[in-house]
Amino acid sequence: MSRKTRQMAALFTAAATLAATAGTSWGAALETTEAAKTASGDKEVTVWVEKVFSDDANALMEERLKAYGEEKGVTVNYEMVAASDFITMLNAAIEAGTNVPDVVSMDTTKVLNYYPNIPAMDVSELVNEINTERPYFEASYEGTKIGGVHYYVPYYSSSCMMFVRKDKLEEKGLELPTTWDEVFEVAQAVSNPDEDFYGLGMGCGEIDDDDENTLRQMTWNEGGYLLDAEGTITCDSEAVVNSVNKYAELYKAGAIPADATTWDAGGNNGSYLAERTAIVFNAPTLYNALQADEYKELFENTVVLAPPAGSDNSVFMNFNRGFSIMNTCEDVETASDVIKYLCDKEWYDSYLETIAPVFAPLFQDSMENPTWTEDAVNSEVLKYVQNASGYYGYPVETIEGRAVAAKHYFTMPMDKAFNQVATEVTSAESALENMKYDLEDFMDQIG
Amino acid sequence: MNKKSRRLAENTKFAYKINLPLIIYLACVLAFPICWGIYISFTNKTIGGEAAFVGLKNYQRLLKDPEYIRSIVNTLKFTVITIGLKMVFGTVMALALNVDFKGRNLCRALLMIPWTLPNIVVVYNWRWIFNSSGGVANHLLKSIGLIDKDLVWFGTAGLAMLTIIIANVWRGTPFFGVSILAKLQTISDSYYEAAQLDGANAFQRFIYITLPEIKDVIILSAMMSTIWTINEFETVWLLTGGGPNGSTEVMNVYSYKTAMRSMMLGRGIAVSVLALPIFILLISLLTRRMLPEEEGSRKAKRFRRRSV
Amino acid sequence: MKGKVRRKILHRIFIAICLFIALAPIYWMLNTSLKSEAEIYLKVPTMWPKAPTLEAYRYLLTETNFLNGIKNSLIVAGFVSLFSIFVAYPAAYVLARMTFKGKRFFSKTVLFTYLLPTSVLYIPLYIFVAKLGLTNTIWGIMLIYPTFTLPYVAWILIPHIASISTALEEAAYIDGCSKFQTMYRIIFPLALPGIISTTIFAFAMCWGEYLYALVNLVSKEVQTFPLILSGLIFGDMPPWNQLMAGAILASVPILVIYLLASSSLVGGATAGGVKE
Repeated sequence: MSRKTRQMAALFTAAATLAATAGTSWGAALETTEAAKTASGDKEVTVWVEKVFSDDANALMEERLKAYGEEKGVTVNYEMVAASDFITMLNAAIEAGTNVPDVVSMDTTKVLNYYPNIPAMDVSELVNEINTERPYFEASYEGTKIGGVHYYVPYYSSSCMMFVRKDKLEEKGLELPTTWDEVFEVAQAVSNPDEDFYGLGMGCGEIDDDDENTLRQMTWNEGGYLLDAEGTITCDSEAVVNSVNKYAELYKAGAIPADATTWDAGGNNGSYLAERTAIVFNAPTLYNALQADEYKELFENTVVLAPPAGSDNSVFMNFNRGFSIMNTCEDVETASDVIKYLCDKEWYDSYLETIAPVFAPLFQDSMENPTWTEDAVNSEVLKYVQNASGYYGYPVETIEGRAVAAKHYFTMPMDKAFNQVATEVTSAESALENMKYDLEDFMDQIG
Repeated sequence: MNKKSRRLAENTKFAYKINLPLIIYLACVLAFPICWGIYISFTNKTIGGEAAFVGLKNYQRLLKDPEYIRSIVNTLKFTVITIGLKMVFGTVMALALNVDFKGRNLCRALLMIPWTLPNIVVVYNWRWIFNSSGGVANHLLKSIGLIDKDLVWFGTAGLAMLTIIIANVWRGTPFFGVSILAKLQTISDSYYEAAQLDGANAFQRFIYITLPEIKDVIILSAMMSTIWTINEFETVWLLTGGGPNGSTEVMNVYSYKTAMRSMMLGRGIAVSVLALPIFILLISLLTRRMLPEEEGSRKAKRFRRRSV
Repeated sequence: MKGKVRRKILHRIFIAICLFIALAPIYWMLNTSLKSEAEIYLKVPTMWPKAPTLEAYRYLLTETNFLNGIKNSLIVAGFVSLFSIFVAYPAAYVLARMTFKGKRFFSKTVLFTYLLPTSVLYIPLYIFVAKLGLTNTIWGIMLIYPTFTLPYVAWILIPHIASISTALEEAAYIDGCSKFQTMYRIIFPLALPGIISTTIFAFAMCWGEYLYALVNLVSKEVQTFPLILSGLIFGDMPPWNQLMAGAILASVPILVIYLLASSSLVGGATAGGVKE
């Protein structure tokens, strides 16, 4: 009938004109991929790398991947993906079962969150190969195993350092704190809420993953564990209750900023840069931020230290990251090859240099690398990495326990509990009672 | 009767033929996703995992969960307030723009901008404006002396709700405004002239001429906006994350946390499926209200009523 | 005449207030986009940058795929909004004008597409696109965007069409026009103001869409601009100035389209129609 054909014709012309305009750029891109494919034979590998904060580093990584493709005659489809989008995109791909990349950036928590349907392959063999050539630090090698197996090749680690306004401490004649109790004392001593200055910049906002980690570390340093080694829930133990109450005490005493309960991950360092707080715990990205011209004075008044020890232990949270090969990968040999290529000592060292001190290397030979031993901050960061054997659910050893802790982590439970008690919504006992209920729910799910 | 039923048959044939593209599109693209969603809500599916049928377990758990109940209450509060505000502001905005004045087109375009900006950036902007340290909202309030200490916008239950209401209303009002305006412009001036000659003042003209004309567009926009608002996620998630202490956690934020963060896809989708009855109710009300009666005479009645 | 002048002034003041409310946050975006990173974090925010700089814009335009993203967004939004009008206008027409068997059910089905939120639908829609092999292409998202524009277009146009006098159709029928011709030749032009504003809104819905684009468009070359902008955020401190610069730049095409279309929005639908 003429009416339908007319409609169709109109649609087709519109589509065709648009396609023509669209055709130019991505049509060209398609062409080159086609050409590249035929030229290099049939080998193809897809790599998704999570972007890091440094544009230069990301560019280096891109170049390296391109170089691999050229050198080995393989088509490398790489994408540099922003961290916030990464999981959403990966999940959609996993669910659809198509277009799942071969090699992805991965870390322990991400792997555990998928348990028991871990989409990554067991790469223990590959890790051992690399380890034989270039030994890892023990904490890094052992700490990245999950259930005795490696699901990703450890590549580098972030850290969480303590940034201190040494000038404020000097004013009051205080020594730099080395234990949590000392930190609390110092914080209260230098606080001046009327002038909008607070000693401790530790927040507990709903989406503050920075402080979620710090609160955990602080709590287990004092002997407060969410799970014990066998996997029994101990989040309502006295030690944990004490930690929560101590924080609330400091909050009410004005040693912690009032808005800390609303911070996102950028809140604590934001407060430090705005000169409102004396001590914050943050990744070394803050150190980089301080090097801008506008912060010259603040930078001179800052000292970067490893976190304090607790009365029970001084275990630090590990932030190891690396690369996984997904289960759906068809060409495991090439994928492994790509990862090995990225671990090549010379290139690796130069890459890590561009992202120091935010990320630290995991190989023992970095102890002989002057970049890491001679710089004050870099050496503190390396020291951190060597002592980072903590993880979500520390000290639980069963894989179920670790999976529960990892999934639980994503709900930011420490933030929530500390928040509720500090803002006097509920008591520590009942907040932790709720946490127990949530943990039990996750245990139900897993097992 | 014969003529009528023949007309009906003709109309029916025409209606479905002409809408074939639409029907095909919806059948192909949407049937699968909706069925998938409903099916998954009855399973214990996690991302990347197998889906095992668990019947009503997800729903039972949800209805017992105080956090879920709270999210429903929050959603209701949020929706009712924002829709009400958007209706009023939108109508007022449309009325003001209906008057001819220099630069009207430019003003109209400018007032549309809030709706056209990509949501993620707009929300980040609000987050920055309401930031308790360095945010301009506090700065302004302090400058005019309304407050002397910085307000913790995202940390105070009432204020946090206020921020998401402000963000939503700011963004959604142009939708109402422009839709109503387009309708206003179709009202012939002769109505108003006639009424004025009859001695009606501005207020009466509004109540008896304008309002009946735009009533349908307002209600339609309101219902559509309600559906969008209940399904709202991005704004609330990026602005308050559901805080403080869940006081702004609306239904979709809770659903997202469950599905994406805890990887419990089945339960997360169940949250949305539970809201289906409400949507179906809304849609039914909408269709009943908006569509002219099956009898053709109702249309003629409306026409006659208008020209009085 | 004094009352008229006073009313005029009040009216202008009111418009000014509306403009202020709508534009103040945007002014803040503009303000932020011209600042350096450090100035943004100052304790006391500045109303106008102490040292305005176009660095954010420069970076955005020269070192990211932003412009390419805008181009992709234009193509997607343009195509989908036009497609939506063509496909949904008939639906609005039959719902506003005709009685036919199954009308209630049909009208409800069109809106059923809104039953589940995009945050749930994105997964199965992605699976659907993947099955067709269209992932990582703009065709993929052009295929699924109409799921949220079509119901809107269909329904919003109903009152616009319903308000046009039926006498026109009756006259056309007498003149021997087929229903199809009436629908397009006579009613469509009269409903144009409503159609244009609806098209623009459909365009805007596609313009800022994020979630569907995120999972479907992985490569930089095909990404739409919201993805490019969110890709600038890594870590906990977003580059405010760049984000805001992107937002300002992204509002330009919409403004232009709206201004161009505005002229045809003026004028009543009944002009030159039927004498009442």
